[in-house]
Amino acid sequence: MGDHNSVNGVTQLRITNYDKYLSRPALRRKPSALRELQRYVGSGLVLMAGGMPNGGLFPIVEADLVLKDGRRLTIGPQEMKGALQYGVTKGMTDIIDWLRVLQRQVHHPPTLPRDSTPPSASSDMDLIMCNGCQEAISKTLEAVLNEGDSILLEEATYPNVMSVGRPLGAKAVSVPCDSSGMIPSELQKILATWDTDKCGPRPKILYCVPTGGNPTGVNWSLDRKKTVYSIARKYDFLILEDDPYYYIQYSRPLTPSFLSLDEDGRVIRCDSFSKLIAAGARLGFISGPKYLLQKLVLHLDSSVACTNNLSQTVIMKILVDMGHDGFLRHGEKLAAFYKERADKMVAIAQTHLKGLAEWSPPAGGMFIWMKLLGVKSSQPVVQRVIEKGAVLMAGHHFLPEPRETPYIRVSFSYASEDDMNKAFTWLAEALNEFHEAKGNN
Amino acid sequence: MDADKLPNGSLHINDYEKYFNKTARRLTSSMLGGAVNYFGSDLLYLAGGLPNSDMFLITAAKIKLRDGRTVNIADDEMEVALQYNKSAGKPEMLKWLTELMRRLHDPPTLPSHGVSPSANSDMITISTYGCTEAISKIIGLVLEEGDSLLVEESTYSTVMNVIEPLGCKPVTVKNDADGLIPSDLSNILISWNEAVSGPRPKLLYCVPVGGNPTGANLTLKRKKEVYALARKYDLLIIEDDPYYMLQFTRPLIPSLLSLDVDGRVLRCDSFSKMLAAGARIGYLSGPKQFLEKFIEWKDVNAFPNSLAETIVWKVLQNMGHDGFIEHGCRVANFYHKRSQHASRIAEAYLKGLAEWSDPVAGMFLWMKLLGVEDSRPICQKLIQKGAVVVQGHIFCPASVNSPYIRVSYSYASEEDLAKAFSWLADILKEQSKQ
Repeated sequence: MGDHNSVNGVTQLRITNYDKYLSRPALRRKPSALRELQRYVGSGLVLMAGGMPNGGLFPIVEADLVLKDGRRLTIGPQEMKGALQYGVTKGMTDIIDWLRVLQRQVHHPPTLPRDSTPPSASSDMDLIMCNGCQEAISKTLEAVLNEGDSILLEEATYPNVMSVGRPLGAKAVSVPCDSSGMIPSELQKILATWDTDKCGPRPKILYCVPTGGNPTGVNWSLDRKKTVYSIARKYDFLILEDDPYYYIQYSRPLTPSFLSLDEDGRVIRCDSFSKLIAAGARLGFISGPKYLLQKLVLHLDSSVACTNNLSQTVIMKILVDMGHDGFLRHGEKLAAFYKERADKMVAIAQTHLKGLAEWSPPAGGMFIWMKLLGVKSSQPVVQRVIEKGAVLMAGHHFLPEPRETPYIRVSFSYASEDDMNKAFTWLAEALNEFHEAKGNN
Repeated sequence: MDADKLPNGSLHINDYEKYFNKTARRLTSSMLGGAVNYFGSDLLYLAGGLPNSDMFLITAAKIKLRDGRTVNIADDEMEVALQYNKSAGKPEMLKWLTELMRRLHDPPTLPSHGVSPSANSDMITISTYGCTEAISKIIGLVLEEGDSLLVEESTYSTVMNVIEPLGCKPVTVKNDADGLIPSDLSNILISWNEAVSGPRPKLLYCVPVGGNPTGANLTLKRKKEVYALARKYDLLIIEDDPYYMLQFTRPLIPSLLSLDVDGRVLRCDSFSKMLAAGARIGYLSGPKQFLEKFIEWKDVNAFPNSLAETIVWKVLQNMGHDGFIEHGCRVANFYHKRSQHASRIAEAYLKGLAEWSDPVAGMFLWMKLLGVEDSRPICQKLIQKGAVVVQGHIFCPASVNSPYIRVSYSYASEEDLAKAFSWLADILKEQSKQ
């Protein structure tokens, strides 16, 4: 039995039935008999079940990783054997254990069982590895959305979420936001006035990038998260918290996550090593209710077979070397790095674009979301800037319901000061050209 | 072989849209992918969400190989390896793999050396997370709810886990020690009644080498017959071939891809049995238009693991095509010896109690337990005694029960095999007494 949480005297807020959220394919998914037999690995029984190729034939024996500070970490022969072999679908035990400790330390999830007790209730927090946040979003949405379902989104959001939703026949419902995140009264209005005849089934899931929002650079305030959580509880939907920039918040202490508020077991949280350690290692992890994560694992069983032991071994080497405190310090270093770049870009924008564009300084992540003034659509301006020599992203790509917008997204992850100056000079030129042309008409 | 010189042009596939399901048709080019086209050009690139690699912690790697050599991943390569990359996979590796395909299969749809693929059916090769990703995505792009998938009577169980959630059904084609039986496939297709069985099948799935679970190879003669039927009934073929190099004899039996004049074969290869299962790297070869759609789907859920690809690439580069083919022979010999031990030991303990054909490839012995209807209780008892095998019914979608078990001889020592088979013999003898 999971934790009893007492809020205003109400105990047992935990969700007990998750089937109501699941899509038809997810409901049909059954355990793979082959993967079930994985449990006997390491048991001492004579194993003649799995199609495990004999690792004695694999050509790689050992590897040394050279680190930035000059030190080396070695993946020895024993570890390498494990790294090169098929793994358990949900991930390697030692990295999952390490990450569970991290999640406890950082988020104190209400649904995470005390000590090291394994999750037992459907809503108890479990943790699995995945091939980055993109896979996590994709598999979660496939587990929840049927044709005609809707997904609640921030009005400017990561485009790859609808790239997943559209093929599933799902509809985007965009909710207005401001510099503190999604506006609760707007969300409430949408849900209170939901007409199932016109709009289809009530939304079962909300997707957000609550830190260093892509494209907005906004961090949701804790207050907003609490209010949206209570709305999620009221209208009974899940929250898909896509948080790859969590540690790249520019200030400390870190704003608490949705996971840290999750008394009911309605949050599926996606973390990633892509911005922190290595995008190419394709490694992230999902924290959420055991029942839902089990469904995701069943899907992983028959889509990628198992997670990448090689990447997990490499990343685990680094994590063990750093320790949990070192990991958090690394996050701080990264936040400072990106903040410096953000400040630089904001200053340079101020020099060239004052009166031509508007923006809020980002609070995290690697993007500035800029409104081009006196312009209906940023697309022709972006085209003009490309002709001059710089590539910025036109904002309409980030709107779940395609329409014109004067916004652009500018990344400061790589650009040098020189690049920033050039790009904004050209942007100012392009805007002035447009205004002149309009003036002449 | 040039596309212009193909015989039977009328059966040649010019447009793959007709095979794509609703999901596939709704996929679009990833916009983020579009902007990426400018990356690396002379233009200043402030578009992408590429994290700054100065902050990545690993700068290089040294990989020690079994033959004593060391390969290095230098700084610039490591920077690329740790960054986001295009979904098709590492370009140098894909080039190498395309040439490997040319050498091993001489695919009719592969443009001549130096000529870029242009026709929809021209063969290209992309990287995957392994054969499972390949199969699951191919099926996911073609089948609609209510569709059928043609599979061998005894087939890889994971395929069932792929089609069931989609609301699709398996239609089983008999197989024997020489693989799938073409006359049975023909009967099924001739007598197909849409009113009873739903839409005509569009897709055939097979494991033509070391068939999982059967250990059988589909003969070349049969491959030709199967291909002819695929042409006649306009099927696409998923050639799931992770054990291709693990054929116990040489020369290698030509693949279905080598017969593919129309562009209807989607060939799934894997490094899992030969190089590194844990790296989750495989490669898919097939018609350009189809694979481009496959990549559109990868763009939204499976960016390439560039780190793993780079590590595998270094090994391949070091081996060269010759070394890779040689390594394949070594691996095949290894499994061949083990299969011989396994057969010999099985013979010693299970003669008269079980029946099997000696495997001709791969790592499995597919054994029929005599006088048994359902092998499951036997498998349970065997676990209690101390050995784990796989109950056959999971590989046989058309059967409720199966007397078969699948035994892997990949790891078990001769001692362990003897133990396990003697326990099995005890259980079977007890069973027959009752």
